[in-house]
Amino acid sequence: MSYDPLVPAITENPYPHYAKLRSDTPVKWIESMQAFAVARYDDNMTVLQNADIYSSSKFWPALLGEYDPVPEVPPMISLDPPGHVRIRKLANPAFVPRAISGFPPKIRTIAHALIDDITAQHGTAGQFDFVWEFSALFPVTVVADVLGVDVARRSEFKHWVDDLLAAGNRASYGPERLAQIDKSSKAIRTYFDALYESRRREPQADLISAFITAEVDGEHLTKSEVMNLSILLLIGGVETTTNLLGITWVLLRDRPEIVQRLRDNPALIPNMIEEVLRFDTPVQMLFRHTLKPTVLNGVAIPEGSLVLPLLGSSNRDDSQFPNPDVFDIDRKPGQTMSFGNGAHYCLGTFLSKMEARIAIEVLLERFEEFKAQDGPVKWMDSYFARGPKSLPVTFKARSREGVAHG
Amino acid sequence: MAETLKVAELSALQEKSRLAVKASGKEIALFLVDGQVLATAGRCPHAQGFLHNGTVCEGKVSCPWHGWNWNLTTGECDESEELLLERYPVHVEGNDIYVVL
Repeated sequence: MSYDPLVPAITENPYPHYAKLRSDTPVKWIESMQAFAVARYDDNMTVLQNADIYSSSKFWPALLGEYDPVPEVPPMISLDPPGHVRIRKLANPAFVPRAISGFPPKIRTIAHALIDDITAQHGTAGQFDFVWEFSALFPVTVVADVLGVDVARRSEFKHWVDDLLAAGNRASYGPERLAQIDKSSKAIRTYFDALYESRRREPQADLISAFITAEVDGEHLTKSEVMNLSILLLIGGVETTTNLLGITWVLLRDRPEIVQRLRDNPALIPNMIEEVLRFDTPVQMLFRHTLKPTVLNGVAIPEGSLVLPLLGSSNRDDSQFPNPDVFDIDRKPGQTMSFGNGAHYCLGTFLSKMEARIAIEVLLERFEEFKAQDGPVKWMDSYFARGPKSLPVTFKARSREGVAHG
Repeated sequence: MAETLKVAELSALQEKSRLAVKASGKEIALFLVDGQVLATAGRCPHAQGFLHNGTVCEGKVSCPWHGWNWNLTTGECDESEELLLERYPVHVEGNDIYVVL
């Protein structure tokens, strides 16, 4: 079976398919997607660093199609230089290292509060769903705080964002699933429309208020632009870090010796996160569109073609990462493709890694036993975002004496 | 060991006020700021943006990709305490720009 991102059996474990692409057809026309998939690291560097050939302008339309909640304006992720950096500079200040250097105590408190909820509901030992009760709620709480969205509705956000990302598979769905995606798309728009109006009347100390009052080249962003940017940051902040944490515990399930090393030496956690990001990448691919005819690794790509840089494949490219199929937390992976590259390199890189580090630290502090249950992992319904849809874990909480809280 | 290499001509820099050059396998950005020639790493330490395409204001270059700001003299960054932009000593002799690598 050759690589086809619309076949769930392939996206469940795309890595053998990527390996075949890298060795046999590193730039390959994919009939079902009507797109060229790019599998090798160097070729994807070329794609991502040359926005004058490989435009982002159709990223959102390609992913969301008619389910884009704010289709009337392109979001930041779909803008090319030089227009892109104007909007990016608005969002930047909230996410750069200096801005988030004071976040850890707050993030730690959020992680502890979620675990308090879990032990209140499930007792000090037993099982719970790590995705729905921790990893989906934790990043959205952090981003909600930064952005200014209602933390109380965080479970709904997860449903909406899951549905929006599933829109990438719209070609393969029946009317019932499509109706659900449509409903979520409308719900997210309605929510941000109301939020915009409320912040326009009464600005708060949050990012949405900052977007409303900010000026770019002497002009305010329109309501659609503010909604779009906010939804993008919510999607970016909710899904990716949730999946990074979910993937981490899937990988640790069969590697108790690594868990023990992390418990003995939490300083190993940041590098392990880098390796998780490389080994099983939460964002598997991006979308680019050619503005002129070009040739990539000997393959002629006509103007107006959809191009898919396969980030998950690039991260397994042995020209860049020796023994790429080995999960090695002592590896220094260096420049992975996990956050993309070029002008659209992920804005949330630092925040995401900070969140993941603190979550893992707190989980290991609070639980003396913590392990995903055996059995097949149910992966998300997306070829774009990768992560477990749910992940039942067995746990035993440490007694509260001796656990530093806060 | 440091080596001094001619990397560009002053007249070319004067024309565009910034240039991207390569020397000893390194990518270097040259800027002409208030009559002074400054040389830095060609790529932004944050995410490898091409600094010669950035905008220069008050002695800082703003990267064209993500807008991170770098002091061209000290190498310091407004966005991160940990990252530093590499700078190289420059000599101008006549129309020739030399950089010490």
